[in-house]
Amino acid sequence: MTKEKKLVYVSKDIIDEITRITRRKGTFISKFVEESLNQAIKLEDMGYSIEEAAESFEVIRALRVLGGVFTPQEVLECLARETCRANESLLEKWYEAGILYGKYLKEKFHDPLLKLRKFLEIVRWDLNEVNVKHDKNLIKLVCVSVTHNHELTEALARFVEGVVTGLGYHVQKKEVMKSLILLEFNSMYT
Amino acid sequence: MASKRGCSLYSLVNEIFEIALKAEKAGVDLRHFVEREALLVRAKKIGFVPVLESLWHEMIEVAYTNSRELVVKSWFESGVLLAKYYAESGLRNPLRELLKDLEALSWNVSEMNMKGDDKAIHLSIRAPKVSEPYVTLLSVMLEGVLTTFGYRVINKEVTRSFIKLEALREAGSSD
Repeated sequence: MTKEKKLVYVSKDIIDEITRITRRKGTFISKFVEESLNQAIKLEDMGYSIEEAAESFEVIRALRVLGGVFTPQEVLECLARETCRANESLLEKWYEAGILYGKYLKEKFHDPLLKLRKFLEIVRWDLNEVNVKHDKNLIKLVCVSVTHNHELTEALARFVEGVVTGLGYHVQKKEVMKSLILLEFNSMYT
Repeated sequence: MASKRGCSLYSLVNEIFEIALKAEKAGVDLRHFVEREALLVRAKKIGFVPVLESLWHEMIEVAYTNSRELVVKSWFESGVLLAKYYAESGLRNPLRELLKDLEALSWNVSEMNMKGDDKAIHLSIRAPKVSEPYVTLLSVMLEGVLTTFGYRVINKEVTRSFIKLEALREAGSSD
């Protein structure tokens, strides 16, 4: 990359703030500026906007706080198929884990339902679609994945049901079929 | 970048600084943050999905007890698939890159070391906080990886929190 310089105006408020931070950290303004721009370019190259990346950062942090591991999808499907068939009580564990997530989202974020959608979109990138619709007092959540087997869909549905319950909603209707989850719920207080 | 977004350089640069300042205030290191994003993009590309750790270990225990053969096969195959993806990726040292990514994605593995060259490989992994079936299955996945890269495992040691694999390059195999 060329070291040729270019002049770009930056608002005074921002420069004041950067100055304050760099002074505190004992570093140079130019270093902060270059580092910020470099990282923004890297994100853009990965196909992310900085705003999107900020969303996913929060979600991944939640996953790390509550305990998460990465696994090949086919292994997860195999495990779901074998365990759900063999052990019904494991589905309850998905539900309980969902409740824990729901409570965490409720505690941490102003709009936990929006965060749930973001969470599912970002963390479950094996889902093709996640949709949340408000219909008067009723909220409808739809998750679609064309790659999930029935057992994994069912396990994920129990997890989402748990999250919704943990958020303080009451599930009115649940439909689960291979690759589709449909949940309808409303506030426990309406 | 600015012309792609259809905005002025001034507004883009200012926006970037505003977000960088927000990140600073939230105590987020921007470089670390971007590295993590890059890892997620790679995880997505290689077909890895995040799952809750507590459920994960429970599922492994149950599946490993009830359908050991099937589960072992599935882990081995996923190692093969993973290795094929990296082998075809055009990276200079695909095996090393694969293990580096696997280590970064394995939050529950405390250490993953690879020593060796084109002829012999020594792999050692420490995972003190995971279950025995998980360690066994991870070793099976790594065997799938090494086999696909043309190595033959000649020595395997798997204990509750430790994996040691030694493998030799099969005669006639190439990257």
